[in-house]
Amino acid sequence: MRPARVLVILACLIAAGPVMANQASGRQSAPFYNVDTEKQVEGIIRELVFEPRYQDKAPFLILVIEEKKTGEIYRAEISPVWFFDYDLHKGENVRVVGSTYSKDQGQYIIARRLQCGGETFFLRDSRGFPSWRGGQMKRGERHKGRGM
Amino acid sequence: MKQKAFLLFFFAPFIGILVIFFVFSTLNRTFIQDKTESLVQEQLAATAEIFKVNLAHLLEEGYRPEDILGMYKGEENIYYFAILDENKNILAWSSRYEGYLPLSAQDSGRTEPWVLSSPVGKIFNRLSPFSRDDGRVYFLYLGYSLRNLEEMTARADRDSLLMFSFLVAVGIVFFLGVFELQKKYLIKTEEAEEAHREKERFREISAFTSSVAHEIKNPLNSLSLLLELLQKKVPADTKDDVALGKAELQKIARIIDWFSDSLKPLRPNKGTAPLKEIVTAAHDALLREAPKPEVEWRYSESRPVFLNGDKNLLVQCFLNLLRNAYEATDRGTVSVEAEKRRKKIFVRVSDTGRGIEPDRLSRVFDPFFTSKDKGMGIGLYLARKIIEAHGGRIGVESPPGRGATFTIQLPGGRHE
Repeated sequence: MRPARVLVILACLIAAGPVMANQASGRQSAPFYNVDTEKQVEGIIRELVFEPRYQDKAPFLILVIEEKKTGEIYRAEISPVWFFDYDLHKGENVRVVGSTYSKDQGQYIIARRLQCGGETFFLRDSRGFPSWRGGQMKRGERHKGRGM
Repeated sequence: MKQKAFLLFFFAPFIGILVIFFVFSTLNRTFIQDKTESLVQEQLAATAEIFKVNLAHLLEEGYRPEDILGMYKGEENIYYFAILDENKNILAWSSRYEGYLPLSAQDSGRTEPWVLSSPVGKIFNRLSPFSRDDGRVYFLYLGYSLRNLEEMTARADRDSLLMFSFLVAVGIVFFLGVFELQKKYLIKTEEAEEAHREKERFREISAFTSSVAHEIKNPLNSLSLLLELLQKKVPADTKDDVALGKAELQKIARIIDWFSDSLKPLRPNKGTAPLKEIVTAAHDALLREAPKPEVEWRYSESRPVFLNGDKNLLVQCFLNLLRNAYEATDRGTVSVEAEKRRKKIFVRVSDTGRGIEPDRLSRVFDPFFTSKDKGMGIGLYLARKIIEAHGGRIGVESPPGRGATFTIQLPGGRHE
């Protein structure tokens, strides 16, 4: 892993500390992957952020995407930072398939599949099981979320 | 037993056993799996009931659903669970896997438990209602791990496969053994049948030959008597001729006697005698008949060997073998070597003579089989008969250009 990325991850971890501490009460506040709200969003990356999403878990890579058709902003939850080792940049076109929900007047999407730069990343299975938590995705080249 | 019958007799039951084992293990596995699934279902139902009672109590006490979740974390076999309101809207949920709660709108309508496949194995799902004392209805959704069941099934499969492989391996070894035994049995049977046929043929030949000998000897005796009478009446100058004729007739009678004797079964009068003495007696007798100084004679034994047998018959046997060796060797060596191996005496009679052609090797011990102009084909036959009468065996090998070697195995001998 490149030194710059390590620094970014460390910075995120430090930043995430207080937030994680706040969520350590046993509460499960994050929305779950709901197959009934699955949708495809195609847009441009406006921002890349790392945020703690689940209690006692590593921070996640979040893409702030502006949808091409509507101009609506989506915050796409991709995967834990350690799992995703592909370089994404602001301004890149991406296509995300995932479960959507609204919160505090914002639009969110939990990504199941991400297409970017000619590659496809399978981040969850069809019922939302995360690829970084083992199972079949652990095997082969796909365990890092690398697309095909 | 013929090859096909053998296969049917042994192989088919074995395949049957394997099939029965396979069917039994499959049925057993299915039974265990069903039973375990049923147990898991019962366990999940019981767990859900306990949960529901506690949840109802906590909700009545005013706890919020999301606060209650924290109290029930850590149950190893529960992958996820959720509390739903009466309209099946999720009030709070918890999952071991980030964002993973596979409860779709379609699943919300289920009243029976269902199994879901996931990358970490099968998950047993159950959605069941419970209510507070005030009548407000909630639903509890539980996802229970079937990993233990799957591990158990996998282990049962592995054990069955191992057992099956073991059975197959044992079967293969067993059948190879039985097959080898059967092959040996077939060979022995063929040998016995061949020996029986030969014995039968020989019995017929013996009977015929004895009859011929008897028929010849009667007129020979008459002729001999006539010649004796004639000898007295003929002039003195022809008496010698008549005497010669009579001697020739007696020679024919002796040959016929010897011939008849050789066809009779042998009954060895056993005793202990040194092999060297037997071989030397045979060798001396042979050299008296026909000396052959250009052939070198050798006798060797690691330690003095004593045979348990009929000395006269054994001398006759070695005389025949040595005669055969000397006749086949114009210049070279004739040797006899002896040694004791385990409980048998091995004697090798070798020569460096012409050897025996490969196509004749198998017949050299047959009666009346000979490649010589003068021989009758009795010598080697008689040698074999004597050895076999002593419970021994005789064989011959003749590598091209290296003469011939007769090997005798005799039981019951010893060293000095």
